[in-house]
Amino acid sequence: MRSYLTILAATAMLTVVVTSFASWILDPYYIAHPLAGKVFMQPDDRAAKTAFLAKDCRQFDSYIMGNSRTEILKGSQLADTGARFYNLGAPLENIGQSLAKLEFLFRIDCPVSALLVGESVDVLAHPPPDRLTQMEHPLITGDNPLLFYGKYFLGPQGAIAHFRSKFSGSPRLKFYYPDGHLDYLWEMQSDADYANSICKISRLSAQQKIDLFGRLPQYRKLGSLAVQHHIKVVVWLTPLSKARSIVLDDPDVSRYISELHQIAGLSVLESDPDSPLLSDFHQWHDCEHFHRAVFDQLIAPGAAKLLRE
Amino acid sequence: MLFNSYQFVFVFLPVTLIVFFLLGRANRVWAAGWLALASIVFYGYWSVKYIPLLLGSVIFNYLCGRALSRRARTPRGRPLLVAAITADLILLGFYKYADFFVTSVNDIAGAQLPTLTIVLPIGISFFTFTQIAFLVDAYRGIAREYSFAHYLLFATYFPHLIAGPILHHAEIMPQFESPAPYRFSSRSFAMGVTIFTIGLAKKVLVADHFGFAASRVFDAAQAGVSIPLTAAWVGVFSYSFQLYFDFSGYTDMAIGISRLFGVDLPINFYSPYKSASIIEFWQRWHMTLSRFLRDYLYIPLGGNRNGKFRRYLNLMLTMLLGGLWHGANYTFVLWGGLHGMYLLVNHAWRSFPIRARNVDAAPAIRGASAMIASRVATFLCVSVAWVFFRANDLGTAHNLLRGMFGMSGLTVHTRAGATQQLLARSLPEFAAVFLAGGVLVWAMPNTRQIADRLERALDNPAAERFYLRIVPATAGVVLALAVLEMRHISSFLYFQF
Repeated sequence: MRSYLTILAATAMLTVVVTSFASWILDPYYIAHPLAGKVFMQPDDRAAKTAFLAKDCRQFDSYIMGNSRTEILKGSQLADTGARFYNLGAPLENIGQSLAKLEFLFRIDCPVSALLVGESVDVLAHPPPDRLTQMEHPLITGDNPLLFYGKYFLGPQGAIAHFRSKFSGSPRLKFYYPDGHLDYLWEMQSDADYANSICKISRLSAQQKIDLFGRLPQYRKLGSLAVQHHIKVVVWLTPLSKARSIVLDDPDVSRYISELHQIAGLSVLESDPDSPLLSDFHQWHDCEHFHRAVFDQLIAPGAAKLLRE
Repeated sequence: MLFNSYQFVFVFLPVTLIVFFLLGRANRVWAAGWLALASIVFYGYWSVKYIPLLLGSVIFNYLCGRALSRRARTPRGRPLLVAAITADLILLGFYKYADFFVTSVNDIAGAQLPTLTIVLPIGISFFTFTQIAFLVDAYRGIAREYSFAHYLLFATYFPHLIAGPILHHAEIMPQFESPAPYRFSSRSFAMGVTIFTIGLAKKVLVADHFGFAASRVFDAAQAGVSIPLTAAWVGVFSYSFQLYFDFSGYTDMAIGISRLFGVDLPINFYSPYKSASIIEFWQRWHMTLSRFLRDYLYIPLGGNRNGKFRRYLNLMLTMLLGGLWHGANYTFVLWGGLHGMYLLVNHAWRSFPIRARNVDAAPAIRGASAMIASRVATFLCVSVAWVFFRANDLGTAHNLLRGMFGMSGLTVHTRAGATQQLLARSLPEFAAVFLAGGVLVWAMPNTRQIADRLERALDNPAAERFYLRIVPATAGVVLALAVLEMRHISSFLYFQF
């Protein structure tokens, strides 16, 4: 009977070791390996980028922050400003998380001279705290690293996620570059009527507006840090397609934007709401993610000017 | 505290086991008392405020049971039995059905009575039924007088306390009274770990994955979304699998945990989806509830003793009340009623003379193909009924049934990929998952069969060396995978009842 229990315990332990090793080797969330090249599933951008900067941040002095819409921006788009940008954007990133990253950069003595912060008034989702694709690095949260790494590597979940993504034929491929920016390798359907029909959203709910205005104290803190540390901060409102612009017609949202403009230490940029790019779905990867060209034409000139000043 | 939580597996269970066996060496009453105390702590982990309710119910029923034992089958005992059962049912009715009653009155009479918004004490349906059976048997003279410590342990014993199996005193109390459970047995431990592993794997490796699609489809139906044909069936079949693996997984875990303490619990599932008829289904699904309803409701109502009409009426009443036992909602009543109808049709079919002659005359019809057809038909009927069981309201059930019968669109909406969007996974992925679930349900032995085979092997280890290596090795792999998967906290579906 003892041999029965011994075999059971031994194979259980062996299983833990083997599956954990497979998860570590395959590492589809890019926790232990550098995030670069073509990826077949959503990695944990946040943790990967933080880990990258923790190793060496001296080659950069400026940062792009914001959600997945800002992740396509590459530093070379603003090369004439002289700044050396790293793209710290991550899916569903909010200003609170960006602030935590800025404080982390201060803690590890990274040079910070400019920030380009994307603000999306229509994105108010809160990602679940334990979603493996969206967990923050313990260097920022202060969580126990063993628990953090255990969630990715203790067991087969990484290996399973890897093989699922390989065999499911996910159309949402991305290509990551060493400076943190990425290319979305999918495109919006060209049919404008169809795009308009599926991209429509409703006005913000009362709760969403409370959440939106809840960002202002964080932006004020960012403004005061910018003044204190002599950092140029440009907050730009991410362009919305015509189908989603109903959000901007809300007087409460307008009031929020005007309050944002008044915060000392921040320069706020808005795109031209009448630009034909906003209704041309050839310029969009999907309902929410615009092409890099949209930024180049609507935001980059103004941002570069503000950063050069 | 969930069986599939790290607190339970790595703290509560080992501590309870170690102290139980240490005390068991010195004094069996202390060990039983410790197990009862641990059970109350286990219950209190859910909600401390309901511990007095649980203990009050136990003390009340124990005292009534003792009094009934002394008045067994006497005219003086009957009023006491009626009073005690009524008190139990009032308690259950208050917590479980008061708001349902108020809402129903408001709906029917257009009244505006306020609801009481009562939180259902977890496990109340189970510990109430367990004790009602004890009272009835005490009056019948079947239940012996037991010590309070053993009765307390019987009623609160944590492996079964929250969601069954519904225990019968005659199969549990003698075990608590015998010395065997109080001595550690590596054989019982090996059996217990193996059965627990099967249950844990059913829950965390299988059921929860089916739950994903089921929730998406039922939630969409509740939100008023038109459910396409394919998505509707994927959702309903997913729920059929989820419920089976979830509840039978819970039961296996309960049986396995109890076996660690050397106590055998009754089985609750015996491959129900292998049933070739609804009658057979109810002999294999939630067997301890079926037993309770048969012994303490159907037979006292008259059973099949007063002709066909009364038999069918009793059957229908039993199923309706069985449905209502599951929850205070018309959906459960309809679910019970639908199964009642199925049973009536099944019984009528069995007694149909032409069919009976055909069966006798053409045994070939009863071959493999007929068996498969019967199983498929039974599974389909059961799955359709699960729609009412799972839906939160009749509107949701209606919406989903429309989808299942092609009234909300026969094909997948190609442009938006409505089905895939709704299910968030591709249909080939579901096909693979269903294939795996189907193999487990229809091609594999059930837990009892595996346990019996293992018992036989343990009786004869010299001849079963290979088996006694392959089973623990497989169990070890499965246990490790399941324990690692426990990081996703997920409650059991039957806890709501």
